Amino acid sequence: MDTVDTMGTAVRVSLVEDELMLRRMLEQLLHSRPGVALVHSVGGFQEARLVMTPGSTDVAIVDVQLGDGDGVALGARLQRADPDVGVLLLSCHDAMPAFLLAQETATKPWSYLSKRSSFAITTLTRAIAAAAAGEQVVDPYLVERSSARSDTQVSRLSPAQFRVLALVSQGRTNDWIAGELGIAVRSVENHLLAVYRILGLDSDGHNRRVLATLAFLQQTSRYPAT
Amino acid sequence: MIRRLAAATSPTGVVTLVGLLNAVLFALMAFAHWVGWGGPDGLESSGMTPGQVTATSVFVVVVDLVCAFAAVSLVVLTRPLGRRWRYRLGAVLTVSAAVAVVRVAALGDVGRPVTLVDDVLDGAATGLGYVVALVGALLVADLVVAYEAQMRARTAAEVASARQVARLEAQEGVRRRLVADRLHGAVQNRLVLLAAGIDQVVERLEPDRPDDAAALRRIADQLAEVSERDVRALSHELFPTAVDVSVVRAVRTLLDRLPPSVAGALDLGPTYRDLVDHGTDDPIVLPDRLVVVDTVEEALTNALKHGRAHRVRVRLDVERCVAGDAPLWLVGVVRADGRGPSGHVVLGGLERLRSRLAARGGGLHLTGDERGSVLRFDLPLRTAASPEDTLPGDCVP
Repeated sequence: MDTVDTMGTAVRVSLVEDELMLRRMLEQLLHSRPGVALVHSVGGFQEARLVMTPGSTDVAIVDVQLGDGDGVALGARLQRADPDVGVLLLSCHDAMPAFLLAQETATKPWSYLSKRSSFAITTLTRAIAAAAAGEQVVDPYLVERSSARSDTQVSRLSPAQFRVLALVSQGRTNDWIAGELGIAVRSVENHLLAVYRILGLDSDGHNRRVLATLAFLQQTSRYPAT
Repeated sequence: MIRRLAAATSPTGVVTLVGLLNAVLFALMAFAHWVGWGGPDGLESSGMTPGQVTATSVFVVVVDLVCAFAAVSLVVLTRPLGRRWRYRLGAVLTVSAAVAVVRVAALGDVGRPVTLVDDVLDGAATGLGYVVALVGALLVADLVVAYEAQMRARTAAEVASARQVARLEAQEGVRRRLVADRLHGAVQNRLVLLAAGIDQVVERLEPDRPDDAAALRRIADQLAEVSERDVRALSHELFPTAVDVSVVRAVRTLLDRLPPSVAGALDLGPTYRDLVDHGTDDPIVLPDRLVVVDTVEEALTNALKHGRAHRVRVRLDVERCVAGDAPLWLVGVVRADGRGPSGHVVLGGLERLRSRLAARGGGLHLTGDERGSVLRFDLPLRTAASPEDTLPGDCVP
């Protein structure tokens, strides 16, 4: 999923980042991607509120900590004004609690990348596509270093199921996961069904991949055992 | 005594109350004096029946009391408070003399033969009695007024001091936040940029020089680690992560950073949740948030370090003061399993936080046994809309 353009039209992206050098680097990256149209690039909360009018943006890439405000609050405000806008949160530190808190009121699942990962063009492209499509991508670096908290549903997953769920959390497709793990796509699907069952996720229309990702993030720790 | 009088009534009320008390006592003394010097006997010897003697005695008491009431009322009507003593003494002497003359005129020949000298002496003694009673009342009222002024000055000084402390705390918070933001923002962003730059070099090196690429990637990983762990830790020391957004966000961040072997949970009580839901921001002012988050962090650290806890649960709620509708109190409880403190509890690092809570009108209490520990703390809730409305007082939740 290295391209963003899935419907023949470019995904309109707005960038909100207060560090000028980072913003310029991300602008260059975004301009270089086919299927991405950078419509706004602003340096703060207030400026974003002024220029990002409802309907002008498909995906907002927002720094979690802005010089004049909170990026999570900005994302929530943008989604209240336009429920179709996707939000990709960027942070140079682990802002998982803020990200998880934002999901409680999100009209469309958010994605989350560390700034280091955002410079990996394939990861950034995948996250933009996911945010536009209502799917979810979580920073691979953070996911890779996650371990299950004791006495949680995630801790009851087998190592293979945990691995599959970690890759789903990174926004990987079943085909990609099958290739990565060297197993059949059918096996990936079976692992996922088992994951859903253990996590208690029914199939009543919710996006179970998103719910499973949120459960994964809530029930894992990215900090050492000591 | 003075404090009770000041709390019970106004200075004019004090003059009335103390004046009446003095004057009534004087009236009763005068009546006793009349009886002691043979007033009733004189009435009997003048041929009165016992019934007439009793009626006349009652008349004497009533006249004494009415004169006492009249003296006090007349002095109060002259509004002596706030005036110079020259005016006050003039009013007291005039009233006392007038009432004494009336009393002598009413009672002068009751029960005994009188001469002009008797009347003058009786009137002078009576007037002096009224003067002493009324001046005494005015002195007590002055004491009350001075006490009230002192209390007002002390309260104003306390309020000014609390405001100054709040301002200093706010300035301190702003400064700490600025430094933390610089660490979080500028320093971390530069480290991220360096790591990302190295990543790009690694991508180019990987096909031809995989060993060099792997070594460079390790350096980039270490940079990321320094950025994420060391810089974040420094920044957190200065200003707890997310505390500028809300207590809930900051406590969730603390719980998120617990080791994976520890299960952590945050419960919000209904009142707290209601306040959060209906406010645009956290209902707690920033200086109070810092104390709350530091207390929770210390409790979590102790539970893990000393108690070897595997489960911790933080509950935050807002309770109303039992003494009235306001103020609101934030009540926090941190429960942990593992081994809690037993016997005499030594607070250690919590002692400093207890002092900080106490300085803001709150407190903390730690209990524990072999099954775990419970830390309960509370704090008067000063809302962002009125940060100085609630000062420490007698009210407890």
